[in-house]
Amino acid sequence: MADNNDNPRSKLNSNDTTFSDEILKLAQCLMPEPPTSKVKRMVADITNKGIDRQLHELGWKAYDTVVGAANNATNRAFTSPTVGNVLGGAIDIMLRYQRFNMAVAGAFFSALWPAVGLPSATEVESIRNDVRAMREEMRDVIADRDSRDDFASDLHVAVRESIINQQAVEKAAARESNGQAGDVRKSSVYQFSVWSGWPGADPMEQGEDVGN
Amino acid sequence: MSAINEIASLWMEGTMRTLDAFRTGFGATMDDPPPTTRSRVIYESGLVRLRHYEARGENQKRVPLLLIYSLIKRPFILDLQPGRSVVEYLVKQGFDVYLIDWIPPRSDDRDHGFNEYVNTDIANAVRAIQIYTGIQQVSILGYCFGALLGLMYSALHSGNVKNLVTLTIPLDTSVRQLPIEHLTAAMTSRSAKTIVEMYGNAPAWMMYSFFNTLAPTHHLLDKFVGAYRSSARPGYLDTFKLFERWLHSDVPMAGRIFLETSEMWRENSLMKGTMKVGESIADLTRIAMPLLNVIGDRDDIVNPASSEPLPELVSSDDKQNLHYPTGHMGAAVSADSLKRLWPQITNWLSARDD
Repeated sequence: MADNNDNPRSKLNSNDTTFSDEILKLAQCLMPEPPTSKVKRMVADITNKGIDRQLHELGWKAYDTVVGAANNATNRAFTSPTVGNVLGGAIDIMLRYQRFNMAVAGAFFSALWPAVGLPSATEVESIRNDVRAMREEMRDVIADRDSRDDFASDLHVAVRESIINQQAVEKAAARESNGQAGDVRKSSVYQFSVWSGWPGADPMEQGEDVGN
Repeated sequence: MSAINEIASLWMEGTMRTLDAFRTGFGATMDDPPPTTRSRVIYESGLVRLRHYEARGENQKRVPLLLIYSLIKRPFILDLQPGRSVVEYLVKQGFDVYLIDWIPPRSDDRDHGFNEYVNTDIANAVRAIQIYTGIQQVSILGYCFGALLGLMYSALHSGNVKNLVTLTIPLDTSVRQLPIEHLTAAMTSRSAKTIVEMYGNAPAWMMYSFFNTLAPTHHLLDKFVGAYRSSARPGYLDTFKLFERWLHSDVPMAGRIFLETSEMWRENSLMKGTMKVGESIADLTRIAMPLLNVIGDRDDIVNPASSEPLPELVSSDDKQNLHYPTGHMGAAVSADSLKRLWPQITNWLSARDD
């Protein structure tokens, strides 16, 4: 095998290697292994020794303590009369500010929005009202459908008749008691008025369940 | 102090404006999730929609049971999911259940007050049940604000009520221990009036922000972290999502009842026996039917101390407080409550079904 020292290129390399070796040695002294490897090894050590569970528990204990302290501080703040007074005053002031802001903003933006081509609050509100009315219509339709299934409309009529009957009885009683109508409502005597008939013999057998 | 006031008011203003913009931009309240128990609408009028859940099983009860839920959220929490549904449990126990599914008030319903809710809506619902079943007296089970409404109805129309069950009722408003009680007390009558003048009804987003303000850490962070920590439990995340949906199901409160409620809470008038509903005083001493008052010992919305005095104020011979270690909503959704609390309630009702 030829001696590498005879090769001038090898000589050059040898010089370079020496320098880079030195650098590497220095780096190894300063940082014996990459940080990630070190962390991994430490975690593995901790896991093997069961320390991670203890750390985990300690972490949650610390969290519980901090949250408990925060809750206590909040409770103490709310139960303090000073904070109560400040808060009571703040709510008043805030509401007044808000009312004022609403008025000012209304006056300002009512002129601004049309100028930049945006709808005004009134227009948005009217659209909202339309949507709300449509929702209500839809709800009524659904309720009407459910009512047919459940005889709620019949019951509605029956309750109304019952109320009318009760009012008639109350009026008669009030006349008899010479104008002491104010006390009639309190009396339990008139609280159940007679209703003449139920459209279905056994309401439990009527229709399908409709769910919520 | 004025600087703090200014900063607080600006912060509140900005927050509320943001919320208002968010609400207007994103629009309508979410729909209810699919029901667990099938129902049929048997009556609808005013702001009341009456649902009927037919009793199942062999041991069917005679007296109809009317559920009255609070006005500020949707009642689907009572029928959340199979195995976590109060309604499902009740019908399986043989109760013919009727639920008042309150119709959210629109702007033209701003004049709906206690008189309209109690003497018209609930009265009509009871009348509909009477006609539908042919039975004169119903049992009423009210939850939170619904319990207040049920209590007022029972005081004013006692002849129609066979049994009364109140769950987590906010009665004695002189109690000032929980943050919510201080925050409610901080709202002046002028603020309440301004809200109604500005919006007509108390907006849903305002109700939502009110409850979120009470526990910011929980609502901004901890509930999500809690969901993460419990995600390994089977079905937990499904329940969490449904519960979140319910938390976001706020509905507006009609202007008049909002004003009347804030006045009632300031004056503690129902407790004192001076509360007027329409022309009449809601006099609790007129309540003579059996009463079961259920109190959640860990309730941080309705102080147990606020519910406790109820039996002392009514003239019933058969009355009791039932304490249970649960929170405000735990009584409706926790599996433990359905196993241990609700059997006690149904046993109590069954014993008074004749």
